[in-house]
Amino acid sequence: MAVERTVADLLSDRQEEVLDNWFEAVKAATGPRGRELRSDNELKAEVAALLSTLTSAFSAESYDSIDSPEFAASVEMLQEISAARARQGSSPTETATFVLSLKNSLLVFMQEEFDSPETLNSEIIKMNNIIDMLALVTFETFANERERVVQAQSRSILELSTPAVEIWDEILLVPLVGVIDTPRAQQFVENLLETIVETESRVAILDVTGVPVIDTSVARHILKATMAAHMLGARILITGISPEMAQTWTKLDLSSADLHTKGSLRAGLREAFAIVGKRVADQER
Amino acid sequence: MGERVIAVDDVDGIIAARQAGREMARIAGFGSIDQTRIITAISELTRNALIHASGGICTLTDDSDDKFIRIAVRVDDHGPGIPDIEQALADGFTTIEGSYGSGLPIVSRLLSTLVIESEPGHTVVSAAMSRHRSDLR
Amino acid sequence: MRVPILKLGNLLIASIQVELSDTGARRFQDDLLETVAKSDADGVVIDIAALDVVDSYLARILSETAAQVNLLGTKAVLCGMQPAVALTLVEMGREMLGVTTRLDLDQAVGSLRRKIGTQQAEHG
Repeated sequence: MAVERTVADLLSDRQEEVLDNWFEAVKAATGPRGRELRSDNELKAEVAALLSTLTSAFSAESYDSIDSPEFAASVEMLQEISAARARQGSSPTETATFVLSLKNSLLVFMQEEFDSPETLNSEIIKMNNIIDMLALVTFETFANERERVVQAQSRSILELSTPAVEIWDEILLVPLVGVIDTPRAQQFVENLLETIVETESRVAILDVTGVPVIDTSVARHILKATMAAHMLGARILITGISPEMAQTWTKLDLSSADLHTKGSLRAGLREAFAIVGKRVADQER
Repeated sequence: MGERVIAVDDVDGIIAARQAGREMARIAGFGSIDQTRIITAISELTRNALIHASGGICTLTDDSDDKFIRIAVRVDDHGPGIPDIEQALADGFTTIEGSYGSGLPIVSRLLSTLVIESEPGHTVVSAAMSRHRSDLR
Repeated sequence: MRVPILKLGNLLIASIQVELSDTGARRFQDDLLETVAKSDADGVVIDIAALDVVDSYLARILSETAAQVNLLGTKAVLCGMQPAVALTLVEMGREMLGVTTRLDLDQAVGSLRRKIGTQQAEHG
């Protein structure tokens, strides 16, 4: 006898089977990184927890959208799962598959359980919509978290590389590594000037060998720093500019006369010694 | 949020406005360079009012919200007015040094926004510095 | 309150500790030029280490004063600019080109002594 069934009924009655089926699909999609980080039991527990929240969600009167309060727990759990994977370096596909593979699992059981073609059809459509929306949440969270991780990493690279070294009396060496964006450039310029004053330096060598790209606005900040340092009685020399960078800079309205540059760190050091009135000589034998 | 009003009738008024500005900017969370920009702008605007209009009223407001930190500076004076506002704001190097509107291009370079309303007898200059909280260290 | 001007051998040191009004600024200029003329100093150091703000007005006064001192045949050096002040002046477009600047009093006096020494050696 045909009984009106919904996805919710299916999920409560055959939860174990759905779980096993879904878990196998998620496990199959897990890459080596994921397998390192999680045992099968841990992964199954994650899947089970999400399935449990979805079961409650689907038992609501109507489920047209994941914005309804019933789905709050599922969305939150999914966000945590995605964010964790983004941080751990899992692939986007693997993370998306976590949710999308539930579709196939449910489809198999729905076809078995639902007698009437109309019910089957309408339930498939609803279930499909919901899972697509959840997949979008997964994608969005994953992308945002990845972005945040990359920014934090590049910030920490710049923080590590910014400490200036007093390589000689009155000569400061400031090696820059990594990606510099405008807010960091601003902070960097302020720190550099403070350091020049604290160390009473007359020359600061800014080595940019480790910086792949310096855009216009960052170049302008460096120019500003050069001019401000000049008023503090110090010169800024920039070394390690790549040929590509040199080409880009000449296309901007910065003339090479504004920025004091030297090709190599070695040449910069020689110039710095000259500025502070020192000469390197061979020892008497 | 916070608001302070300072009467600027002499150089002590400029100093008071700057000190108030420094404190408000610091409390709002601006770094030391931004604080210097803000109080330099306050100095420009209040000194302008003092020299050309014999004084004015400086109002400082902390307009910060959860996304931005923001300090607004407003200076009202009852001087002769700026005859040509557009010209006063144009490239700072062409403005006559020491003229009524001469500090304005500087303020526009230091701060985020600048609005000027002027007619003979009443001039209001409103400027503000904002920073996105996520840009702060 | 006038800006005190101290004598250090053949050098004059003027340390600006307070904000100057337009009258105060003009008085400072007059005092300094008069003292330079009377004392026959070879060099002047204007120390602004105590100033945490320099607006365009004060920047102009300082530039003018240095230029006027130079015209009297005496070398002028500005020292003690705070980093935040330097950066802000650059952003304002008031870099005070033409004014010799040094980090602090030590460097300023040292550089003046070297320049004056060379000059004396050259002219005997």
